[in-house]
Amino acid sequence: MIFTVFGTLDYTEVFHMAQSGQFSPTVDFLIFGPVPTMTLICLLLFVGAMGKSAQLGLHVWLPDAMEGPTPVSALIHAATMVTAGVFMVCRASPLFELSETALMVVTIVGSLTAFFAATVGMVQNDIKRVIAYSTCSQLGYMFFAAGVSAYAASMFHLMTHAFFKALLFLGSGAVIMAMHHEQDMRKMGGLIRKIPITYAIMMIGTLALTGFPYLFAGFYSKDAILESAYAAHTPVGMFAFVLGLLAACMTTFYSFRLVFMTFHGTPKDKHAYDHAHEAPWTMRGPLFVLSIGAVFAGLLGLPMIGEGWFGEAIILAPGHHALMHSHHVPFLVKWSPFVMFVVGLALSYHMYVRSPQIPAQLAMRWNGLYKFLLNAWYFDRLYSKIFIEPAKAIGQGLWKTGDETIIDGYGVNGIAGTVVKLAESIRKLQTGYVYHYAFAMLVGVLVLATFYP
Amino acid sequence: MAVQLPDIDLLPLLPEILIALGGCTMLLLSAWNGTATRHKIGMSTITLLVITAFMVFQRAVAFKHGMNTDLALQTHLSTFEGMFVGDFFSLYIKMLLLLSTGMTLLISTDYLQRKKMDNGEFFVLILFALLGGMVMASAGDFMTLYLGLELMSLSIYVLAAYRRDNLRSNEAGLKYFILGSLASGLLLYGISLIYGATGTTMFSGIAHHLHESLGQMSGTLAMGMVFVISGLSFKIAAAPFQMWAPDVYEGAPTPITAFMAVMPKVAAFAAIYRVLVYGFGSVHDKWSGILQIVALLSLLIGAFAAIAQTNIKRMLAYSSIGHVGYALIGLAAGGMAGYQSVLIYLGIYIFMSIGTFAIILVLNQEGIGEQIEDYKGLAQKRPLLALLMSIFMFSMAGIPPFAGFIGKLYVFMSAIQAHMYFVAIAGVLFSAVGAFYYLRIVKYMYFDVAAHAFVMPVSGSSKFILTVTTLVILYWGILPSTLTSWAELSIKSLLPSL
Amino acid sequence: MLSLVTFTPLIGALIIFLGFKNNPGTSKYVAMLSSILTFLLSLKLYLGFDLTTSDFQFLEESVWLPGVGITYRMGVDGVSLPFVILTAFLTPICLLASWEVIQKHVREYLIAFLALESFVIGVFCALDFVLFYVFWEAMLIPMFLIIGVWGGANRVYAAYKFFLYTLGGSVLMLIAMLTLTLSAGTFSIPELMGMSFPLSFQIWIFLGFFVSFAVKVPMWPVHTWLPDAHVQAPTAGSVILAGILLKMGAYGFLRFSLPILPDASRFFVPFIFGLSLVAIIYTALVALMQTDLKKLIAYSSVSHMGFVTLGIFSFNQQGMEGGILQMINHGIVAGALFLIVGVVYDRLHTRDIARFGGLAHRMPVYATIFMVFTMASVGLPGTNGFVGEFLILLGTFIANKAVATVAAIGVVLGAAYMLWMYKRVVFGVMQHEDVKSILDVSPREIATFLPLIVLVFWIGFYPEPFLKIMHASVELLLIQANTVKAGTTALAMF
Repeated sequence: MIFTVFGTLDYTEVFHMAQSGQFSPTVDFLIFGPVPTMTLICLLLFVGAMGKSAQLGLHVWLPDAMEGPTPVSALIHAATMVTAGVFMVCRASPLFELSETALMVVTIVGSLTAFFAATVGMVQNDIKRVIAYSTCSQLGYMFFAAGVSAYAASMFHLMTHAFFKALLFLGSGAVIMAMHHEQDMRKMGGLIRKIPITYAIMMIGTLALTGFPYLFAGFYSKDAILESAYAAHTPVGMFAFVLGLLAACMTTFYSFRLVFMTFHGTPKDKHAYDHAHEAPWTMRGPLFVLSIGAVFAGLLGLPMIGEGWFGEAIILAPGHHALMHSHHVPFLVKWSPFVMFVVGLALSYHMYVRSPQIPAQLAMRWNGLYKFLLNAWYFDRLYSKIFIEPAKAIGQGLWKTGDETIIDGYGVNGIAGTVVKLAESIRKLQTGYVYHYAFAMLVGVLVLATFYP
Repeated sequence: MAVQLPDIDLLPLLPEILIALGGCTMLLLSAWNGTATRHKIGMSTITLLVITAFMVFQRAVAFKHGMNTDLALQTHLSTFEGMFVGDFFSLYIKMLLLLSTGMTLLISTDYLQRKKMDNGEFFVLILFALLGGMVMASAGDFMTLYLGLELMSLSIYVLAAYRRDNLRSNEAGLKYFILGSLASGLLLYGISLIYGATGTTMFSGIAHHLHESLGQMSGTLAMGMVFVISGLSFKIAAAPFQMWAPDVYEGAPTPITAFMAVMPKVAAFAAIYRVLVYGFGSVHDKWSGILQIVALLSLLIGAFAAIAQTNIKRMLAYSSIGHVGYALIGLAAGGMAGYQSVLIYLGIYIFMSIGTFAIILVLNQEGIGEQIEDYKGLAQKRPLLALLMSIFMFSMAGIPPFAGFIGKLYVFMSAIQAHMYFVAIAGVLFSAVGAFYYLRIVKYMYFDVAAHAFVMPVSGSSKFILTVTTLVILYWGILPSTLTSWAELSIKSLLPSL
Repeated sequence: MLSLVTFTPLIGALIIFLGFKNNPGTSKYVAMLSSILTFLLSLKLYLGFDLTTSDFQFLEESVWLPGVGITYRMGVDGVSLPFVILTAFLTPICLLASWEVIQKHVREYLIAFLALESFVIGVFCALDFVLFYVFWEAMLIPMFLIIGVWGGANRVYAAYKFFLYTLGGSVLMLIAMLTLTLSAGTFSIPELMGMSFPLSFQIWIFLGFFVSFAVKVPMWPVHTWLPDAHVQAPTAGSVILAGILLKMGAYGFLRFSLPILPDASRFFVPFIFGLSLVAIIYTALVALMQTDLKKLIAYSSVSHMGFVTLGIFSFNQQGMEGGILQMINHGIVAGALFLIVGVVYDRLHTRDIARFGGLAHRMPVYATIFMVFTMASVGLPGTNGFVGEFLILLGTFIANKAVATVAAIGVVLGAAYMLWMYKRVVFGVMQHEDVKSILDVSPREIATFLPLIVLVFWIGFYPEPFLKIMHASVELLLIQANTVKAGTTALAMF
């Protein structure tokens, strides 16, 4: 698409041409008739980014990808793959800036993802799934940051997130190893006594993720995003801000839920507990490095959201200065994430440490909601119903009916069958009686004589 | 006024004289010595054939090098006032006839000994049939043609029924005789109609007549032509005159089947050339349509009926009907390319056919080989035999790089040059159907488990013929230019105007 | 030189036939040697190939059938050379793959295989119609035998189906070919490229060729021989079938339809696009439901070849080069996938996907190799599949956006069935006892996969050495394909 409009795929050239307006404003796309070129390009790019970065609607693969071994999932999530989508959107900022619609879509999808994934993350029992949905949610943050043109904040969060999410994954890997490949949190508990180092590391990661003020990386980046959303002063921005805030609360809730369920309380699986042990040094080494990053990346990276750090790489359209305004937001807005943090922490502590029977009661009372969340809003099943099962049915139908019955049955084998039948009937002409033969010959002569022109 | 001497020049007749004398000698020998000299008669027959073939070959080579320059050759072109023609065409056909007869005898020596069929008469009959065929090839007149045809046919009727103790053999001979007489009747009737319309039985006379009438044909002449075509179609077993072929092929002793599959067919094609291509050459468009119908019918029956067969000789009967269909396409297409293609096709066909029958005869030693199922698993026990058989089968199916493909290629080229697209497309589609039954034999040989021990020895003469036929099929499949140039030369000598 | 490349395998076959009557062991080495020699010779062709010209190179010409003007004429250009090399490259791998697997009639197997290689190379080198047809048809015989003699349970049906399907297609091509050449008065392919014919004539000839090529490609709906042939053929047979024989049809389009019959080709673009899309989507869906590993890959081949035809008929540089490259890629990847199936089939004698599961635990190396080729088949960036698919989609997009979009759905479906299959085979729980004791790949098997893996990444990361040999020829082809030779106005419709 970019290629047809601009005739090149080189970043620099495309951006330059886009800025100077060297393209036709509308283009025919499939059956939709003429649509604004930039919006189309951006939306198509964004769909790609959504797939890659597991945004709402195209996120279903991510938790399932947890099948991979832990270092791989750490890598996939935190550092490289999923963030590629965010990176692409930021990278293509010169294009996105030209389309208000596209930015709006990005913001809405991003904030919805952040909210959705956080709700789901609250009830998951698989330790890696919690972190997976958390990643999903954090990516939502990044997207809506980009959507309100706070690309720098987005990139900043991307970086800090890389540290603490990798930390969490490797940490959870250590936990899983300690528990002999047990991933279900309900079977853990009280591990703090057995693996204190891992506990400390996980705690750092959690605090960073939840954005504990002033000390941990997540605080700076997440705050920057939320403030930018608020400061965008658009309805969409506000929408994103509110959802983001709620998501922040839930983030804290599920993060600490994870910590509490895993390390506090009483061991549920006595046998596994007894054999739990610290991870070997080879595993702990990277964890230490990452925890340092998780603590300090925020402070060190702060200049990223300042002026001009990205230079020409990110181009803002006039009027899109949410990030700059973000430094001047009301006190309440500035502290709201922390409030949310406290609320989430308190809830989590109350439910999983003080009175562990509450979650079960809640689940009982709102069984429908609980199931709904546990199954991730039934996206998997929905997709399975809409896409996978029909695809399978169609495939089966085409194979059995199309290929085997029609083409092979009537076509190939049909022809072969007809040939054999014809052969049989021609063979029957051969009766063996001489007078039949003689008759055939005479008829033949007659026919030829008649046919003669 | 000088006394006109009758035009009697025996030089062109030399091969025929040799064969005739040889045949009579064998007859006498076998009468005198009874069974004692059986083997000798066989050997001397083959020697005679080799000598004659060598002579024909010599003469053909001489022709090839000096056709336009050597006056001595030109004067010996025809004799008996043009009733007998000794042109290059006749030499080409005679070479094919001699080759097919000689090869048939070589592959059947074993069989003949085993079945106690190697009496003197057998060879005598073969020789007379061959003589008839050779006369047909050189016929310049309907009378000569008919003479040769009857000599050939009568000998073969007897040969088909040669195994007197075998019911099927007798039935085959009788059927062939009755239907053959009917065909001869048709032919004779046609000849008399033509004579009535043109006042001559000479082919050159007919050509002259048509030239004078500017290609206009009277109804009588046309009817005569249709009858002659019908009569000759019987001999080449083209549909709808093919009915006898499967029964006779199946019933006749296998060496005779092999013989019938090649020799009379080539001779009858030669006769068709003499009558239609030479005599009625200027009204090609008038008979082309008839031949197209006959060709398509033959292809149809050849391709489809063969599929349902379980007896390999019967299957080969249908396959030969199919091959005749292809050859007739070339005739119907006409022109240099068309006429040439048929001669090429025939040359290749005799080698494929003889090769196939050679293998059938080898297998016959164990009392098997007549049913297609007998070939199950041949490849496991006798890989070489199976390999050769599959080469023959693929060649018959017209798959390159074997010679059968070249034959079909030339035929289809001529058909397309003549804009006979429908016939060409039908032809290739039938060839695809036909491939099915050839493949079936390959399938039995290679894909199935052996049902027999296949320990029969292969006689030296069979080995020799198998080697020769295989090499020829491979060689002509890749480098057919010798064959094509000979065929081209034959047509040039038959129709100098082309 | 070309004749040497073409006939070296055949000479090897002849040596085996005459020289090693009861010695299958030595025969194997002779076969290997001659196929490797062929490969080296083909590399020499590559090194000696002049990249700057679009002319046919290494020309050889000698009179073959005088009188009708049929000549023995060989030559390669940038379109055919990649296929020559691919063929010469895959054959030693196939021989290596069947080194221990083929136990009965070893000599005959080797002879058939080498003959097949000869004929296939001949198809790609022939510059005379009749010569081309001879190689094209001759190739059926060894393949028929390979499927029929060394194949699986239902091999007879598959062998017949393969043979008659293809034969039925190619006899019509023979007619079209003869009509074309006889009306033009030459059998030379390069000469015919420079001639022009009226549109209606072109259309008929195109249809004649189309039937034959479509069967070979295979395009929907004449693809049904392929699953049977693939499933029943021995592993190496499937490799050569997927790797090379399928390419002959698409090669035919490139060599004949586009340059000689450009107007008809353009006339049929919507038709071909339609069939290709059906092939892509339809067979991808069918592949999704397969329970037999080989059948799944066979259907995926049909789907992938749909992309190739899309690319070829996109009439632009990207599409065509993508199409050719994708053919090479598919040759490598599908070939490798069949080898992969062969590995487990040799061990367990089943190809039922449900029987596997959890192979990763017992066969980690195998699982890794499998993953590489699965990803390449899906078209993951960094693998060769991506480059080809991307170029094709780009080319198609330029030609027709809607078609490209639908084709992109095919990419997604392709990823779906491949990954699902991979998951079911490699991951999960081992359910059957025999799977639990399965052995990982042997060094011999690794040796067969290694060159293929190298190529997957090489083309994936740096396709230029492969693309550059086609540039000049594809440019010429484009010019030829885009010229209006018929001079009629009927083309305005498109």
